Amino acid sequence: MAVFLSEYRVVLPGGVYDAAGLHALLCEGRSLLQPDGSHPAMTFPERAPGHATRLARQALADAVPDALVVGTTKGELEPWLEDRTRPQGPGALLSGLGCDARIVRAVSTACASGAQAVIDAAELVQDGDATDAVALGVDALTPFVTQGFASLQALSADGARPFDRERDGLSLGEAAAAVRLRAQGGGARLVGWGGSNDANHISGPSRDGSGLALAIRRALAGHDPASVVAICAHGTGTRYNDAMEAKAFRAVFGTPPPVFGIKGALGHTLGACGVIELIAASEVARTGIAPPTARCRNPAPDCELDVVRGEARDVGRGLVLSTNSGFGGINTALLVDWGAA
Amino acid sequence: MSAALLGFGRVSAAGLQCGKRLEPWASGPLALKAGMFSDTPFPRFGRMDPLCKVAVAAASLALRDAGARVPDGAEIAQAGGTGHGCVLVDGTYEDSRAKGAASPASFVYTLPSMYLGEIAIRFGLRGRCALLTGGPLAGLSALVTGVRWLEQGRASAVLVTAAEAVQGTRVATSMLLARDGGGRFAQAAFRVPPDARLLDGDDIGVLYDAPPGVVGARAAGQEFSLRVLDARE
Repeated sequence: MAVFLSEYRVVLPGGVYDAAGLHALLCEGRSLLQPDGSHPAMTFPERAPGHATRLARQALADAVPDALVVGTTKGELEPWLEDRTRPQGPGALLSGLGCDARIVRAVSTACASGAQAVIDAAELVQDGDATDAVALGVDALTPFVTQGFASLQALSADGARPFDRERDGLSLGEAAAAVRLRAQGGGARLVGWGGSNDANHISGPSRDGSGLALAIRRALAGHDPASVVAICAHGTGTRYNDAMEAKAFRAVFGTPPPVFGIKGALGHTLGACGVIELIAASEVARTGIAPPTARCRNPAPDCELDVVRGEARDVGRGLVLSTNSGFGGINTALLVDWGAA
Repeated sequence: MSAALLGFGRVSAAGLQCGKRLEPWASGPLALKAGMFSDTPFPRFGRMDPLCKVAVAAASLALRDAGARVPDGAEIAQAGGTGHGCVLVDGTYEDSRAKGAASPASFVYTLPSMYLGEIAIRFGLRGRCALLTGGPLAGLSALVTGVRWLEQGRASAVLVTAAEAVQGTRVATSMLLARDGGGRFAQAAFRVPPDARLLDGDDIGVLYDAPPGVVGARAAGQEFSLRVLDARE
């Protein structure tokens, strides 16, 4: 049973976007990243504690769904960073949100948290446990996070270049995004989803892509892979992630459909990226136009993918796949299309 | 809601429990070592954060209890639940960062879902994963979620692991559940009132106790329970 998607809100440093607005922004091919690869939010301007909660509130707006599922890696950290007796994490964020939804919960599966929130929300609706649900992904940039990724030497020196020959790491971003899911409606539909674990390495992707391929096959169950017209990849811009994804796509599709990624444009928004990328994928399903992969200039030979770059491309209408992976070996795959009620 | 319970493991201040077998602590604080629950070398264990250690130990005991009934790892999904998450290693990492030497070894564990990854690596579990967090009933939510997956055919077996590691307390309960019965335990029955609010609220406490029955949860003004029937063959 498909679950219908609507009421998209994406909170970025430059403003709040609906689905069409996000698509237009991405199709411009611009990047929010600064010349040194940093994100505007990484300068940590003076801001009151509770920034993640404020981002989430902006994305939720006035919505009071039957169920709210928040996907986040760290939730609200800032008050705790100042005073360790203060609440922290996803629980602090849920409390701060103060949403009156009947069911309120958080899921945290590293960089797949947003996509996992979508899956959890879809299943609450599908099972009749909730009449409607909002999946919300959010994470704020803090020194806790940025210095952690720096310690892992995972950050790019001059900005993420997903699927590029010269890619050298990721760029962090900051965002919140929300989408409402209902059992009935029209427009974008979530028609499949899947998850898996690499069972291979705690912080690195499996080298063979078999875990992600498993998640994709689970999402495609009952669908013809040939009807997938585009893939919105996780595309972090790290050597290992992008190569792993390419192997997974080739394993499932043989010759994969055009691939695009948005982390060169927005940075890696951690818990938010799964929701944002689902919204981007749903707009490709609606319009048939895939945005370019910002900052990808020369496709990497080790990826062997048809990467959309330079300018937006007409890929036609059909199913669009969105994939995410995270620490702990977790993979998710979401499949969307655009159909009538 | 119903599911077959194939194996049960628990780690708490009372000791290590594998099915009905409880090996109590002699005395002193809970200092987990891999040799307490594993017959094979497990060098990774020493590097893990406290949440991963207690969760991996409970999961190991649940899978040992299931014995030959453990399905193929590719078919085993994982649902985790933790209210407090990885707050201890968050503190360790933040201390290192504040000194100007952010520790990558600590940072990788500053995600509450990492114990699902450690369990997956140790036992080759490749099914879907979800970690519910953010409230005192996260473990209960994980159990309900796992049973839902079985009911709806989203997984044929689920390892549900609820874990908490905070100052002075380490506790984890793990259950291997399957859609098909025939486990050494008879059918486990879970009852949740249809109007139960499963999540969050300062007035809700959760109790992981009453071995080998599993989880009771008490909410202010109402009591609802999930009970694993003790009907070992």
